[in-house]
This record gives sequence, structure tokens and C-alpha cells, in this order.
Amino acid sequence: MGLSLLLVGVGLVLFTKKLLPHETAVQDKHDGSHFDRVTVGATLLNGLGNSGLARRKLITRSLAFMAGGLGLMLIAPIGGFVKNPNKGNPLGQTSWAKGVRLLRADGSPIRPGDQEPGSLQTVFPAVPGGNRQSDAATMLIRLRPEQVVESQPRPGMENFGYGDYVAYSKICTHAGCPVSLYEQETNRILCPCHQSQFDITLGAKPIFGPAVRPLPQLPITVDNAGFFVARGDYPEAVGPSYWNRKRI
Amino acid sequence: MARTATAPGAPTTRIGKTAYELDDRFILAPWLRRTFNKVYPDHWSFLLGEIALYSFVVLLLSGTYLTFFFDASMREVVYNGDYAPLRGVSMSAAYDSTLNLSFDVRGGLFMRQLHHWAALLFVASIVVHMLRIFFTGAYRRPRETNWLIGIGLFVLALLEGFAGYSMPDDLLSGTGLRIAASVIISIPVVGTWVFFALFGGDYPGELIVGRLYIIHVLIVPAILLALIALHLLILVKQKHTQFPGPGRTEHNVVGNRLFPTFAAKATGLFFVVFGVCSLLGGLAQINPVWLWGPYNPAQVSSASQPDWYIGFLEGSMRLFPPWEINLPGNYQIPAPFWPTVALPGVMFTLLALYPFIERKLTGDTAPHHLIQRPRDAPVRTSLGTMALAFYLVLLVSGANDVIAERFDISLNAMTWIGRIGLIVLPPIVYVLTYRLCLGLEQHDREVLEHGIETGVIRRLPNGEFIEVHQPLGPVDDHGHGVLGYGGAPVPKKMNQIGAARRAIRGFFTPIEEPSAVELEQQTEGRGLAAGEPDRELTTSGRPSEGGRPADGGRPQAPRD
Repeated sequence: MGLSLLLVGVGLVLFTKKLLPHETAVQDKHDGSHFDRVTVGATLLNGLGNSGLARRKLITRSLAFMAGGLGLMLIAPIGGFVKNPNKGNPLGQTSWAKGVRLLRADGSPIRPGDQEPGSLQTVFPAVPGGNRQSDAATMLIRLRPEQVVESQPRPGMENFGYGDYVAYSKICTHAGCPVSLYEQETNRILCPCHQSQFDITLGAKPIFGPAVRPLPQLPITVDNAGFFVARGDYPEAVGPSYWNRKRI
Repeated sequence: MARTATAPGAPTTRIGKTAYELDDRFILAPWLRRTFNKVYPDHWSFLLGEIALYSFVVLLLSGTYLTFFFDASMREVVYNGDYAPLRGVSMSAAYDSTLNLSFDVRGGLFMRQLHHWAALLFVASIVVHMLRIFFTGAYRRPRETNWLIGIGLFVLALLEGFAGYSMPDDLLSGTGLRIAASVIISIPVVGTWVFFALFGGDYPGELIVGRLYIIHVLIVPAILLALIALHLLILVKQKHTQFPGPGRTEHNVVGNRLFPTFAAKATGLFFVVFGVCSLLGGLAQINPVWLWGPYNPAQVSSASQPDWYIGFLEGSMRLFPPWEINLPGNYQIPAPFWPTVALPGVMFTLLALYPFIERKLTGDTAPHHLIQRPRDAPVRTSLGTMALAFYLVLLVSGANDVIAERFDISLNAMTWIGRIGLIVLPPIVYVLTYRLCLGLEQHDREVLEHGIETGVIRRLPNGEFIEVHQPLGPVDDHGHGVLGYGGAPVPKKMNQIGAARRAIRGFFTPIEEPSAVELEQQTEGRGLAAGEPDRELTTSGRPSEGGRPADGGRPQAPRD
């Protein structure tokens, strides 16, 4: 099909080039005429004058009023789109809460002995649909012993980890991509979208690329059954920044 | 109206009579006569806009087909189609129907790929068409309106492309949509409100694919169609620009009539565009969504690149340093705002306003129908290439992770190359282009003054060697040419003024003897046309002795 279309096209072009008589046509451009302009302007003004709208203020005003009403009616349906982003802080909260278990993608809970040092695992909150939520994905990382020694958590978050485990949001603070490339040799987590790099021994502080804020850290502990649980929601909003992020 | 059967030119055939009857009712003939006789100038670069138009037609056709099978809904379904690796996976209905379109609908994959390729070609031809308009100065008065409409079309085409790209709801497009969402939310003050209005709540919600769909198939195409119609109407009304050349003035158009030549060529080009898109759609795989898998906010594939026309934004987002501006009252302007909202805003505004900026700076308010060669407006050309260099650095940086991986360069080094290149490269390109333009201009003048280098070296009696130059026209007492530069290409090789013998006939093998052709040419008299009167081009681009329509309407230089 493609070939036949292409060949029809090529054939037509060749036909034009080879067989049609070559011609050169000259056509003059028409410039606008002053006479037309003046006449049209005068006609318009004359019609307006005959209608008497300039004198009859009441008609003009009621026309304007009706036009305004019509305009409002056309704009009003946009109201259906408006939703208040500040009601209930939907941007600053996730499904993580005190006592919510950390689950693997297949839904199984995790014990502290399950991961090798230096490994990373994506975990989700144990709530319905938790593994499909856009802001809940979290990385559970078990640090290697030397990483534990180097580790400098952010102030106020020293006790957010559990033993040699730390949990950071997987949602990049730059544009919301999941940061997923963990380079254990350099302690870095790389976001594949825009190459922001976060150092997990420095509280997931950004050390290269366009991201400004560190990945939020999830406070974790172990419940009575010996499985990882969250100690609460993230202390700050997850994901990309916005205008009033720090106020709510 | 009284009409006799014996009137001269009365139709005798059946078709002729039908046409006559039709015209009797609708009176189409005067309009058709004017339309058929409308003259279009002929230059390859004037076809670029046509390519955009024809790929838009292909998009409409293939897109309409796709709507019969695509389900723009984010309802959760379990895939149960022909593609085994994803069977049993839960996904949105949009992704499910895209997979079915690719595997179960007969010819569906071809249509999808045709649509995608045509979309890439559409934006690409718009960009190249725009560059042609820019570098030849075709946007000058009276065509500023069409320039503005063109910029509007370009921006809408980008939006349209992005909306279409995001609809299948696969992992790649979902990632793109996630980034777009973070761009929207980064707008100061209104960002979160716009975000919630668009998505109907927090990301991703359940509405966005349906909304993108109606934007993609109804709203934006309708505006595009209306603007394209307006664009073409204005073009027809104002008539096409043309390069300066013999017989061409600010007050005429020299070229081919619409019928038959231009119509045949345009139809041919339409079929070529359709054919190329079909070949690409049938043979070259594009966006194999089944490999990416359904969108999941917790997953991403590496080397996630958007379609090429969004690449410059991806690049600017990667290069921009982590600057988040904190304002009093605990408000902040997030970092993505600058590279993805402010920067393209400034870029497109500058582009749209360029005709007015140039008019202000040069004071040139006269109407122009003859376009310029890029070298004749060095500042504009240099500004254009400078902007192009800026754009290309951004575009390349949009793929810097792929480049880093393929060429084994450090990723951070690529980012820094991009950051520095973005600032350093454009000025360098400006200076280089400027020098290049001046050099070309000077060479044109030199050839006009001294003639073409023939390559014939002659030894003078005193032992001096000189190269013989062929003057292009009459010369003054010092042997300098008196032709002025008229804005048209100056022939710089002897072949261009007819010094070469004609090509030897024969398709695969020559069917005539080269020596015979040589002889034939010699008996006809040597190339330089003796019979033609001398003609001088004045600097205004108007030949002082009127037009010379025998030149086939092509932008050839004056031959003398």
C-alpha cells in the first residue's frame, strides 16, 4: 500500500516534470484601494448613524448588559472543573500511617532479616490498592555496615530508620518519576527521568541534577508480629514541589 | 437567459453538457477560471508547508480509524487478548484497547504506526517550514498575521502530539504524563488549582485519559483545522512570496498556474507523503506499547524519552540547576517552573514577536513580497542559527542518558557539557554564521565584478600567470562587471551559464556517442547566448528592462 501510494506520487511528479508543457505564468498582485476603504468605512458609519444607537443610550446599555450575561453564562460551566487543592491536604498526605505494614509488590509483609545488606526493595502501604497509588511507593533499603557508619541523617530524622534499614519515598522530588536506579558503590540513587542523584547516607540529599529537596524519609519500626510497619505518614509532602507546599 | 445551441463554444459531449447545466445553476465558471489561473511560484522550499498539510490529512484519516477501536477510559480491566506476556495483568481500559488495536484488530497496528509516524512528520515539517519562513524573511509585512497563526499552529501541534502520546496509558506515556503533571503543579500561585482542575483531583485520578482523548480528537483538531483554513485563505489572498529573479517584482507572481502544473505537483506530493508515512507505518516499528507494560507510578523504564518535539523541554529540565526560589510567607517557586514553563514561554513569545521586533530595530515597515536569501540578512540569519543552536543543545540533552550510555561518557559530564554548551555555543554560532554570510555576500559581489573563474590559466608575455575570468555581463573600462546584485543567486561555475555540453541521452547505457554530442554542440555555437540583450538588475531586485518570462520561472541568475 505504501509503495503503491508512493509510486503514484512519484509518477505524478515525474509526469509534471517531464510531460506537461513547461510554462511561466505571471500574475499581478492587487493592492488594496483607498477608495474601497473610505467607502466601506463611510457605509458602516452611516448605518450606525441611521440606527440611532449613538443617541439611544438605553438600548445600547441594555444590549451591553445582555451581552455580559451571555458571556457569564458561557464562562460559568468552567466552575465544574474547579476543585480545591487545599481542602484536606490531598497533596501532602499519603496512605502511610502509624502501624501500616510495609508490603512487597506481591502483598507479602517483610521481616528485618529478609533483605541482604546493600539491597533495595520497593514497598507499598498495606491498604487496599496501595501498590497502585502514585505517591505511596517507598524504597526500603538495608545499608551495608560501612554505610551505617558514614550515615548522617537529616536533623530531626535520626531515629526514622530501624537498625540498618531506612525507608525513603520513591517519588522524585523534582518531577515525580520513580527513582529506581540504586548504585550501592557510591550510595547514590539515580532518577532515570532527569538524572537527579540522591545520596542515601546523607538522608537522601540531592547531590547532582535538577532536584532540590531530599527524598522524604518514612519513619519505620517493627510491630509485635515482627514485620515492618510505618510509625506515621511522611513528615513532608511527597513528590514535586508546588507553590504552597511548606504551608500545609 | 436566452441561449442558442449554435453559440460558439457550446458543449457537444455529455460531460460538457452536464457541466454547462451545473454552471447554469451555480455559476461556478468565473470562480473556477480565476482559481485555475492562479499562479504559484515554484521552489522546493515552498513545499515544506504543503508536507505539513498533507501529513495532517493523513493524521485525520488514520486517527478517525483509530477512534473506532480505542476506549479512552481508566477503568481497571484484566487483559485477556492475544499478547501472551501480559495476559492476566490488570490494566486500564485505554491500555487494553491499545493492545487489542495492535494485536487483534486487523490492520490496527499499521494504522497506529501510520498515525504516529505521520504525527512526527507533521511537527517536523511545521518546524522546517517555519525555519524557511524565518530565514527568508517571508514573515515581513503584510504576512505578520500568518506568522502568528503559524506559531499558534506549531504550539497546538505540540499539545496535540503530547495528548495523543499520553493516551495509551502505558508505562512510557504515564511517566511523561507524571512529568507534565509536575510541570503544571510547579506554576506559581495557580499551579495546584490548574492541576486539580485538569486531573479532577490528586494525580493520576480516573479522568485524565478521557479528558486527553476529547482534547486530542475534538478540541485541538477543530482549532487546528480552523487555523489551517485561515492560514491558507490568507496565503491565497496575499499570494505567495517569491525569490527575486528575472521578471519578478514586488507586484507580481511568477510561476505555474494552479491547473494543471501546480495541481499535479501538489497531488503528487500528497501521494508521496502518504506513501512515505505508510511505508514507515508498515515497516518501521514505533512505540511498541506492549513492551513497556501498563502504567504503574512505582515503575519506570530507563531511557524514557518523549517524542522528538518534546525533547527540548526534557533537555531543559535535565540541564536546569536545582534552584528553588523561596519567597516570604513560606511560598516557593519550584525548580521545574523555569525550564519547562518560563523558558518555552519566553522562546515562543520571542518567536511570535520577532517580525515586530525586527521591524522596530530596522525601521523597515514596507510591504515585502520578494523574499531574501539568508546571506542577505546576516543579522537575522545569525540570530536564527543562534536560536537553533540553543534548541539543538536542549534537544540533544533530552537524550543525554542514551548518549552517555552509548558512548560510555559519564552522565554528569553530559549534563555539564549541556549546561555549558547551552550558554557558550549560541554566541559562537552567531559569530560564525555572521562571518559566513558576509563571506558569501562578498563572493557574490566579487563574481559580479570580476566574472566566473574559468580554471583557464594564461601566461602573459611578461611571464605572469593569470586566471581567465568570464564576466557575467557588460564590463566597464577597467574590465569590471557593471551588473548589480539583485538578491538572486549568482552563477559561480561555468556550467551554470551553459558552458557544459548537454547530458548524453540513455537510461541505463548511453545511446549516443559523446563525441557526436560534442560535435553537435560545436555546430550550434558555444554556450554564451549571443542573441540575448544585455540586462542589468537594479539593486531593488527589479530588472531595469522588464521581465523575461522565458526562464521557466525558476530562481535563476541573470545569464548573459
